[in-house]
Amino acid sequence: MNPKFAARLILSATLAAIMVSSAVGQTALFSHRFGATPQGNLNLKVVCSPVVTTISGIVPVANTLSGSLYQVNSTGGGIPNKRALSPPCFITNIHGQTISSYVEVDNVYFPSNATIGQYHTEHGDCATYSGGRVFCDATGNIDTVGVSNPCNFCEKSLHVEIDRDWQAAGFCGPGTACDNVTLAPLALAGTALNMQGFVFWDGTEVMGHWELHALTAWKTA
Amino acid sequence: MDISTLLLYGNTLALVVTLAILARVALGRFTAQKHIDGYNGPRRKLVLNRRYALALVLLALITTASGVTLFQHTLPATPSGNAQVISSACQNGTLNLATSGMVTGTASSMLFNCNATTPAITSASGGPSTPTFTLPTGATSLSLVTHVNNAVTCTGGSPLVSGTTHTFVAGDSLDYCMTSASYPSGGIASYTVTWSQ
Repeated sequence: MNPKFAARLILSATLAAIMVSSAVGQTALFSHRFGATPQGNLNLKVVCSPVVTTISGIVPVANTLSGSLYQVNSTGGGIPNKRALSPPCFITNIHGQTISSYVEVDNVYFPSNATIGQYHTEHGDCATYSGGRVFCDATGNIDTVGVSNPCNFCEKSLHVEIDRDWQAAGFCGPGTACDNVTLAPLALAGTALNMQGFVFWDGTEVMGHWELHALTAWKTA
Repeated sequence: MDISTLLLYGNTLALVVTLAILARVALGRFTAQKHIDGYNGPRRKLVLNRRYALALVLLALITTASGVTLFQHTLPATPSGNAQVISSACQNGTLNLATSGMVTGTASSMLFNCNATTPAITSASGGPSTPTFTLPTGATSLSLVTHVNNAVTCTGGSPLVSGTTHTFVAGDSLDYCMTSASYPSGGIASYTVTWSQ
């Protein structure tokens, strides 16, 4: 570049900057950064915001409490009470980290070739509520689309339950975000779904396992 | 090097040269014998080399120039700087989202502060300040609301318009409230608000 031209350019730019700053006459004080807001919650009755994760992010080793981010002590993981209608949005895990107990797992399905984990109404887990109404948990095991897992808990399946107390309270059931009736044919068809729910470790059964309990919402992926 | 330093050096040089000449005169090195009628003894006369004379004249001029006071300018004390209208205690300017549970597809309000007990913005003196921002997709409005410790109060307040001055009142303690007419399933992207005055 011609040195004279460069000099004129620099001089012009400097003068322009001086003129602009004089005209504006403003001094920046500080900036505030708004972080990205979380995934939308799909259930109006839930006041938590879900964190998107994967089945492996909850169940790194099948049927094992330890090693999961959601382990809170030597015997438990996830929320303290699986049937709570207002479970805590956050838990403190065994490492002292505060993490969201409310999660979303996307692109999952109910394997149709599962032996016992197919979506179904669990008639052995029902209760009678006011007015003589009876509600049962609706359960099944999910896997990530593309993962074939016919033996239920032998691999990294995640158990999900539409809780009977949530149905009795009107938080789940027909016409809600966790409609247990309309889910049935989609589950049977192996349709890809996105699901939201609270992480819970069920150590009461012979084969302990991780659940989304309560499953609070689902929609097609 | 400024002009006063140059003058100082000039004065010093003149002094040194003068002293040197005087010393040499005292030692008789600038003397010459001259016989005058009726007197046979030695006569001392100062003989100045032309170069020395010129140098002395120049240095005298410099000294004279430095010594002439034409006039004085008195610079008054400058006024106090404008007080900063607002300040923020948020670490690194990062805000905390105090609201949770925004439901996809529904109208939502989200409160942002530094933390549950620290407002996003405070104003000690009050006055005007201007925000600059661009709302991301999914966000409908941004306003300032009164901060309440350990509460998620996101109602009322003063709407903010990018590039338009907002007038703060002394003692203001405020948080941001962002609204979304229909909360997007994937959330709302991050963005920045810059304040200036």
